[in-house]
Amino acid sequence: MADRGRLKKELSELQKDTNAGVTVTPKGDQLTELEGTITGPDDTPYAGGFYRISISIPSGYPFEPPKMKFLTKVWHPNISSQTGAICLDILKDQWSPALTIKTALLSLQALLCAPEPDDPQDAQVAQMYQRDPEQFKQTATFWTETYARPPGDESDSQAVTKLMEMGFGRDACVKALQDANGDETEAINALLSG
Amino acid sequence: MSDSEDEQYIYSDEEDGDGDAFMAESPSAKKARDETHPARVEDGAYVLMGADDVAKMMLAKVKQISELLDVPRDCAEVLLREKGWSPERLTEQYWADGEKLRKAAGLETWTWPDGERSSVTLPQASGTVTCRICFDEVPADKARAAPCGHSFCDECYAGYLDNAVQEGAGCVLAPCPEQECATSVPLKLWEQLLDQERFERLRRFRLENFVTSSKDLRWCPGAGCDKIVRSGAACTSVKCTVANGGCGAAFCVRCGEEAHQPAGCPALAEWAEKCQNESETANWILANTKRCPKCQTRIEKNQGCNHMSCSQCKYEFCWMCMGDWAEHGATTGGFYKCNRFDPSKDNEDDQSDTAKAKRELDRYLHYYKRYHGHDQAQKFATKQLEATEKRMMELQETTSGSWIDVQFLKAANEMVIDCRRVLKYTYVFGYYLDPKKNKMKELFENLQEHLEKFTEQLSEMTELPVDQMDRTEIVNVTRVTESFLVNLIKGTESGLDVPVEPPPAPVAAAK
Ligand SMILES: [Zn+2]
Ligand SMILES: [Zn+2]
Ligand SMILES: [Zn+2]
Ligand SMILES: [Zn+2]
Ligand SMILES: [Zn+2]
Ligand SMILES: [Zn+2]
Repeated sequence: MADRGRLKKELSELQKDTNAGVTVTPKGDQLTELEGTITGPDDTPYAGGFYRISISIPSGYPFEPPKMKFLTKVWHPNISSQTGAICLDILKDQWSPALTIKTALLSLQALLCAPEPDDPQDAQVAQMYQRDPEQFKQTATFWTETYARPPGDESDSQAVTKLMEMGFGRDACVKALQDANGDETEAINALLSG
Repeated sequence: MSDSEDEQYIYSDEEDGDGDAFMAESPSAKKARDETHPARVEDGAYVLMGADDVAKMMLAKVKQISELLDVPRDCAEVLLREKGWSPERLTEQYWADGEKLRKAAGLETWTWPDGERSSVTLPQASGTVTCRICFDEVPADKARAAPCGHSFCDECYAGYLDNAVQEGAGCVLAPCPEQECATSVPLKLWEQLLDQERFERLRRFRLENFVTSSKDLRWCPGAGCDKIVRSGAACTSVKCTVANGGCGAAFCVRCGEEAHQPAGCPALAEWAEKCQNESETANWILANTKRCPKCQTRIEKNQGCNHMSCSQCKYEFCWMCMGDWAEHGATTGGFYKCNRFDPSKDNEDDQSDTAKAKRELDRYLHYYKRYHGHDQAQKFATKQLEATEKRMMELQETTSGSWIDVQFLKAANEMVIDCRRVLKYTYVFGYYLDPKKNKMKELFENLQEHLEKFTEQLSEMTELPVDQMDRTEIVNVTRVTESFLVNLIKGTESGLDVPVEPPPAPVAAAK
C-alpha cells in the first residue's frame, strides 16, 4: 500500500539494521520531515566525517522521490558548498518507487566515493576537483575535519593542531584556516602578517 | 469495434471479430474515412480535422504497422512512438535490426502467441508475491507485472501509473516501476488499473504524442480550440475557419506562431529576439511619441484606423509616421509614403561607430513602430469584431434588410484583421530585405504602400456610424483588398522576381 505504511515499514527495518552506516530519525509525528545521517567512506577525504541530511517526504512518496539535502557542510563537486543541494539522478528523473530512503542514503555515500565532475552542482568545487586534485583533497579534508565532526568529538582538526604547534592561539588558527578555506599556506601567511 | 473501444483506443481481444470497423469495413464507411483522413494532403493544401478523426488516423496507422510487422497493436503503438510515428523510419530499422529497436523501445521481454493482433501476454505469478513497493506479501492474483515479471501489488501498481498520469504527457513513456527496468508498461495494464477519468487522460496524452510527433499535424494554438490541421509539405499559413467549426485563428503550421506571411519562420524568430533585446528603447520611444505632433496633447488611439485627429487642435495626422495626414491622401495628389524608411534623413557621411549604431537603431525603430502600429490596430479590429454583430443588427433595422444583407460588414471587419496581420509582418519582411536589392525593395514597398492604403480605407469605412455606411462601396473595397492581399503574398513568396499584377484602379476615397 502506497501511504505512510511503506515509510513506517522502512523506518522499522532501519531501526533493526545497525551495520548499514546510515540512520534515519523522524522529526515530529507527521513523518514528512526526517533527518538522516551517513558516515564518510574510508579512503576518501570524507573519511571519519559524519553527515546530517535533511529528508522531506512528498505526498506522492514512494512514487515521487524524497527531497534530500546535506545539512552538514561538505566540499564535493555534486553538492552545493553553500546550500547542501545535491545533484544525483536517482533523486530526480531516475527515481523508482522500488528504491527506499536507505538505498538513497547509500547512493549518497557512493556519491562521496565517486564524484561526477561532469555533472556538477557546485561549479567552483568541480573546477578545483578537475584542475588541482591536491588542493581539492586538502580543502575537502579540512571541511570534513571542521564541519563534519561526529557528535561528541571536540578534538581539533589536524590543520589547527599543526598551526597551534607553530605558536599561534587556537581561535586565531581556526579563524585563519576558515578564512583561507583550509589552505594552510594561506592561513600561515595571514597569521604572520596579521 | 464498438464505439466505446473506438473512443478509448483499447485493443481488445474481440476486436478482431466481424464487428471490427477496421477489419471488415463497409465501402461507405471506407469512403467516409478516406474523406476525413485522406492518405495524403496536396503540397500546398491543408485540412482542418477534429480530434476524433485524428484519433482514427492514429489507430489506422497502428493497425497498418501491426499487420506489416506481425506484432500486436499495443506493441505497434509503442514502436511507432519510439520512431516518432514515422512508419518509414520504423519499418526500415525494424527490418534492419528489430532486436535493437525492440530493446530501445522497452519491448525486449514482450511476448505473444503467434498471430496475436490485439495485445501482448501478461505474466501470471502463482502462490504469493512480495510487492517491491509496499513490501507486503499478497496473493498472486492481487499483484500484476509487465512482461519483465517485476510484480507489484495492484494498489501500488495503480498508484504508480496514477502518479505518472498526474505528472503529464510524459506518462506515455513510463517504464516498469522497478529500478533500472526499462520495460514498457502494456496498455492492458493501464486499462486494468486506472479509473475511467485517468484512463481518459492517458488516451488524450497518447493522441497528443501522435499529433506532436507527426510532421504534418499541428494543434490549433487558439485558446480552448481542439482542431488539428493536417497540412501538405509546402503549406505555411493556415486558418482555423469558423465555417468548419474552428476558432478563426490564423497560424503557421511550421512554427505554430500567428500566421506571419510574407515573413519566413527564421526571419520571424530573429525579429522576435531583436524586439526582446530592444524592447526598452522601443517602449521608451513609443511611450514618448504618442502626443499630437502639433500641440503635444496626449492622444489615446481609440479607433483602428491610422487617420488621427487631435481633440484639442483638430490637427489631422498619421499614427504610423506622425506626419501630416494631408500629405497622405490620394485626393491631395500626394502618396502614402510613410511605409518607407528614408536613410537620407540621416547624415550618411558620419562613419563613427556611434553614428552607425544610431542609424541602425533608427532603421530598426522605423520598422518596429509600424509593426507595432499594425499590431495594435489588429488587436483593435479583433475587439471590434465583437461589436460588429451589434452594429449589424442596428444596420438591419435602419435599412430593413435581411441578416444576409448585413454580412458584408463582418466580412469587411475580418478582412481588415487579415490585412493588419499581414501588414504587421510585411515590416518584418522589409526589415530583413537586402537593402542592396533596390528593384525588389522598391516593388515590395510599392505593394505594401497600396495594401496600407486599402486597409486604411476599409478600416475607416467600417468605423463610420451605420447611417453613413455605403454597402456597395464597402463590398467593393473588401473584394479589391482581398485580391490585392493575395497578390502581395504570392508575389513576395515567389521572391518578387515575377511581375506582380499592378494594383487595381484606386477606389473612391472614403468620406
Ligand atoms: Zn504494494
Ligand atoms: Zn520490470
Ligand atoms: Zn482553432
Ligand atoms: Zn512560421
Ligand atoms: Zn493637437
Ligand atoms: Zn504616415
